[in-house]
Amino acid sequence: MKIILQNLTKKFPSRSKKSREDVIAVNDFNFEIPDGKLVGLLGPSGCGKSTTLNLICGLQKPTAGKIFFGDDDVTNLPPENRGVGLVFQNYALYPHLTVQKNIMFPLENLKGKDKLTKEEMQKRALDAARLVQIQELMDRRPGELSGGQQQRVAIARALVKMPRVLLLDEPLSNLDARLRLQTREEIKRIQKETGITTIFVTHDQDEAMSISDLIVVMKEGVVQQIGRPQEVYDNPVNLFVAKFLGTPPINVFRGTLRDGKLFIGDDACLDVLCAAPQKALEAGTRRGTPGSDSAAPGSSEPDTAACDASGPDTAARGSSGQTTAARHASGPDTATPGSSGQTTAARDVLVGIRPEGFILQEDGPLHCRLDRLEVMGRDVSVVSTHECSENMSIRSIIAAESSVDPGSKVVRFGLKPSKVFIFDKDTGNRIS
Amino acid sequence: MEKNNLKGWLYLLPAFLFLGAFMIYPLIDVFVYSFEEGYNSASQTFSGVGTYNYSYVLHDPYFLQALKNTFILVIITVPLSTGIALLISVGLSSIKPLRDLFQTVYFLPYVTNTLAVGLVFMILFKKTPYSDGLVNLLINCFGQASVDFIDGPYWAKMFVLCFYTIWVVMPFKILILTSALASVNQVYYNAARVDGTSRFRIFRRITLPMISPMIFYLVITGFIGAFKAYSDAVALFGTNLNAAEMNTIVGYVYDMLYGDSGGYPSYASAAAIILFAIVLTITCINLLVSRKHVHY
Ligand SMILES: Nc1ncnc2c1ncn2[C@@H]1O[C@H](COP(=O)(O)OP(=O)(O)OP(=O)(O)O)[C@@H](O)[C@H]1O
Ligand SMILES: [Mg+2]
Repeated sequence: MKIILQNLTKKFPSRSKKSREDVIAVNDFNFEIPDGKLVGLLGPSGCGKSTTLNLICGLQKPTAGKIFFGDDDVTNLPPENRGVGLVFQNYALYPHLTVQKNIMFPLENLKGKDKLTKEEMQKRALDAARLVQIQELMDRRPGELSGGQQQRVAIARALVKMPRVLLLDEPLSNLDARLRLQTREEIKRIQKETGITTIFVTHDQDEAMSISDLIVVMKEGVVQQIGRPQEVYDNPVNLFVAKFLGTPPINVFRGTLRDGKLFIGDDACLDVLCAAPQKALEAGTRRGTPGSDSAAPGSSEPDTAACDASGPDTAARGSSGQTTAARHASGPDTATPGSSGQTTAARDVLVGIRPEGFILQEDGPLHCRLDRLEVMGRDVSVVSTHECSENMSIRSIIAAESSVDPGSKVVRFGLKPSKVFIFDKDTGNRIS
Repeated sequence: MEKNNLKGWLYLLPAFLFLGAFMIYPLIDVFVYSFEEGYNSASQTFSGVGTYNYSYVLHDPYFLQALKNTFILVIITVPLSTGIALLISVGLSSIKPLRDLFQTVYFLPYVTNTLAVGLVFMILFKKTPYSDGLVNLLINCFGQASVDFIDGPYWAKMFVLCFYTIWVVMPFKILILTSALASVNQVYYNAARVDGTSRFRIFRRITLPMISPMIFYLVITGFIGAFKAYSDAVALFGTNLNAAEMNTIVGYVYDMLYGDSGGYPSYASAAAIILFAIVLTITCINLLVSRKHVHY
């Protein structure tokens, strides 16, 4: 079942006497979730994720906008008639009923021609229980189950009536780290097996990235970016998205664009092609028609590039599906931008560099004061500082084989252009 | 471990002493009294030991009347008051505006003086030289003859007694039930709605089980309270309840001790022990039933 949200808006009336402004929990959502996909709804606390789910399942009425399931307009349908399965953040299992009765509960509500006999109900409940592997627990009460088992019961209860849409509201937040890993794999497996369109709310970006077909990043009720996880990671539309995705988080520097070069402090770090036309970039990723098969990110990029390899080729890689290899510039001297206006005048920008975007180089352009090394086996995390860094410390990840002298004061890096994003200082929008 | 145990008992000692002196000892004492035949309160002597007191009480028409009254009262008022209180509480929790006002209104009888309540019932039911009471006015409106609710036929008096009892216990039950309803997590209702449950089924399958401990509490205390009814009958029908055929078991016990026909602690004790046995049995049955239907 395809889900379409059209100008979906939810305002809550302001309660405080001081400000008469409404709380806009969901602000003008427009997107389409294709059939049979697992979508991760991602954003910081209070950004309106739960509200979005509640709107989709009908527990709350939108202030404006429409919701379609397939071709049906369900905007004014009460939750009873929408046929969605919802797994609540705290599971909401009925404590007085056994696992079996909990799972059968939605089936007992069926009326008319859908009405099932007791045997059919038991059989379907058992099928659902098998899917989440809790068939031995059928006679227990929810209070006698572990958190992970309760969650699986909740999923079984949501699945048993074969919903058109499955909604999960932070289903893993109560689990310990290991169980969380295990259960998220399970959710992915179940979703694949059943093929039910699933929306999954989380504020853990790891979780969203690992199992989603698509992620939707939200902030303060506004959708920031929609796309396949890797796509969004490699090509964030603004500083917020860039900061939100990735562990360890992206390193942010104050920088300047001058003469086609990106300066961080006094270090000319990268040659920058013309500032990518912002509109194209936004059009590409905001609307982000999912499923378009753009080239796997990174595959066409010169990873080995030294500091003066130039500009990222990310700009047009949204829905258009064309990789713009033509954008790769060759050498420092040929980097003559088409539009000169932006490059000649100095422009203050914010620079985001992914931890894996640093390359250890004897003569690298970026000088950082070495703080310490953290060895993590597979790779080494170099913690350093720079006067232009927005973060307390810069964290870069390099292969374990590369040698850094822990005693040295300064460490010099080259940068991988594809891992460097340049943002407008004020708006935080991506420039290049 | 051993030492801890000792300490525990030590802490419990004051409570035990208190309970022993004021609950257990009187209970045993009453039990002993009830088997002492021909007890003379002046000389504090008795002539023998046996079950004569019980047989006397069980053959006393006044006691049988009291037993019958008490049972009717219990059987009518406990389910009715709990049921009506549940309806009102559900209504109260589903309205938003004026809820506080209504809650206060429903709670008023609880804080009202018994005598004032008695007066209200006088106005409602009592025949005076000037009026037949408000209820009779209503009955007259429908073209029926007046009924004397206070000195009239048995069923009319029983009706007033039941009405009064229900009315008096209602506020407390409503208070308990509204807070029980408010404490049911909204998320269960949301879950049930998403699963397509009708409102009636939500009430039956979710609300009722969730507040069942409170309902059970109200039923048990309701039973015990109704079995111990006495003052309400006095407030309505005066102290000579036997003459009014409106006596209750506790009333009978009281009469046997202090009433005009009083001075028979042995009979009083026997009646009290019978009441105790009845309440104990009913409570045990309640507990057994609850084990199946109450979800903690
Ligand atoms: N019933 C309500 N009345 C008023 N404001 C509300 C109501 N429900 C939510 N909000 C506001 O709407 C915004 C979005 O809330 P929502 O619950 O959707 O956040 P969320 O993204 O789910 O956050 P979290 O990750 O903490 O669960 C918040 O600012 C919240 O204060
Ligand atoms: Mg939430």
